[in-house]
Amino acid sequence: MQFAYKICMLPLHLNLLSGKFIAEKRFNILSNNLANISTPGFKATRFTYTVQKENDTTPSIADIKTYIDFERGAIVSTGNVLDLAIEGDGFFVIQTKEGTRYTRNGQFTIDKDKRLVTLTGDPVLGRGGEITIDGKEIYIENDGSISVDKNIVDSLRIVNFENQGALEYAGKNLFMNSSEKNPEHTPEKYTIKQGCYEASNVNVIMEMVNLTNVVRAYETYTKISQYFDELMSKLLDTVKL
Amino acid sequence: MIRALWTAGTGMNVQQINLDVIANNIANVNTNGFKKSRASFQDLLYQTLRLQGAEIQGGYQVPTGIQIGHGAMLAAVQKIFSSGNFQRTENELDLAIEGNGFFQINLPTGEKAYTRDGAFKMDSTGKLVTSDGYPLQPSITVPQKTTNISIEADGSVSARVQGQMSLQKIGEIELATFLNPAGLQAIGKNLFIETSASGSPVTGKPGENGTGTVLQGYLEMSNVNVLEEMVNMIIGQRAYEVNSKAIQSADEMLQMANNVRR
Repeated sequence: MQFAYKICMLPLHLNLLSGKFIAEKRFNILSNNLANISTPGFKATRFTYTVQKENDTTPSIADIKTYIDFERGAIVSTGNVLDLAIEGDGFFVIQTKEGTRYTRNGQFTIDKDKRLVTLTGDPVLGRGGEITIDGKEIYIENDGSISVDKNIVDSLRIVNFENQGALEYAGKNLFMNSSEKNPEHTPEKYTIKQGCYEASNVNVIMEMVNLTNVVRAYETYTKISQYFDELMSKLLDTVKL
Repeated sequence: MIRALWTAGTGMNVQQINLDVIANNIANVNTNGFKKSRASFQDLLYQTLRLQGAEIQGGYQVPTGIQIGHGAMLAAVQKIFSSGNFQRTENELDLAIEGNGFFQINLPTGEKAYTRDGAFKMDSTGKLVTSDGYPLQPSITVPQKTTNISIEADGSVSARVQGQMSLQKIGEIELATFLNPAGLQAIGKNLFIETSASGSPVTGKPGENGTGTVLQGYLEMSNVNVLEEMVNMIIGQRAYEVNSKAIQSADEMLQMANNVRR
């Protein structure tokens, strides 16, 4: 019994378990992408596989790592004065209570203190700090400079990072920079488009293909589990321990 | 697995709200002075299983961590105050505002409300009121035996009374503007009230301080664009569908897990 357990059950089951575990993780990631199809400026989560193998006698255990896919989403035209989209690389800079955050979601509004804020009320930063808009005619140039009633008040602060991989999700359509070794800089080429916003970059077809894939993989692991269960019961019957 | 069920559930939930908002827009496609709404979404918090950038053995850094999201939620339902089309009605008490201003209305509670719906009527005393009988502020009363009412672009209201040679000035319409009209609270009946987000109203004569001018004999129609709403509705419905598929798949996988031990 002990022998049989050592020979077959442990490695096989560990492999199966890690496979099932990954399938569940992948499923959670995919369903989060699908739930955010309509979230403006949302960037889909992708994953890669890693395999850990310490030596030849232990089974290899696979795991996944996630990263953010910064592919651009579609630009949707709305005609709203305070809907902004960045064409090219870069992020809007948002000052939250938790610290500086970055976003590609350009749906902004004005709060009671006349500041330009996100829809959840966090101020958008310009080159001179918070942007105050006091006037009727708001025009935002391609380079991000904001003119209110024909006076230029400030310019939107657009930043990019050498290593976008060091950004992580902070919720509320925001990203945060997790590495001190990854300083922000102003991108060379970008265009701000007024009256448009960037939609989610989730690709439904790809997510559905992945989803089908995960379900079938899960089914396979389950089938092997069942097969192994039968095998073990036969083995136990034969040996009569 | 349970998380995926909830995650996809939040996706269905936001799409449901999205469709609620779109349905209300479409229902008000012929409402005078109606301003469409837009539901806007954001992603929920992430569970960080492994932080990227964390230092590991030998001073190396983890290039990619593990973050798993929990779905989507509603960020805001925003009123879009773009101008609606003007329709010529030739009714002398129909007014449209060319600009950003609002008419001021006195509610029965004593509060002030604001509207873009300029279809005014007269009550039994000759006072200008909305279709619900709420008086326009500042109050304008049309004298008896009036044959014609003329309202100028600057808001001055004059009446031609039977038996008099000259026009009689009976009042002036004032308009209110808000710094952030999107912060106004809609209370139904085409009315809005001020909130701390909208800022205080700035009142003025039409044509001053960007309030806009008044146009007699015209009405502002709803700013709902049916085509745009239909496209959004199709997108919303499909997004709802795809999230329900995710729930079904999660259910299938749970079923498989349950069937491992027969």
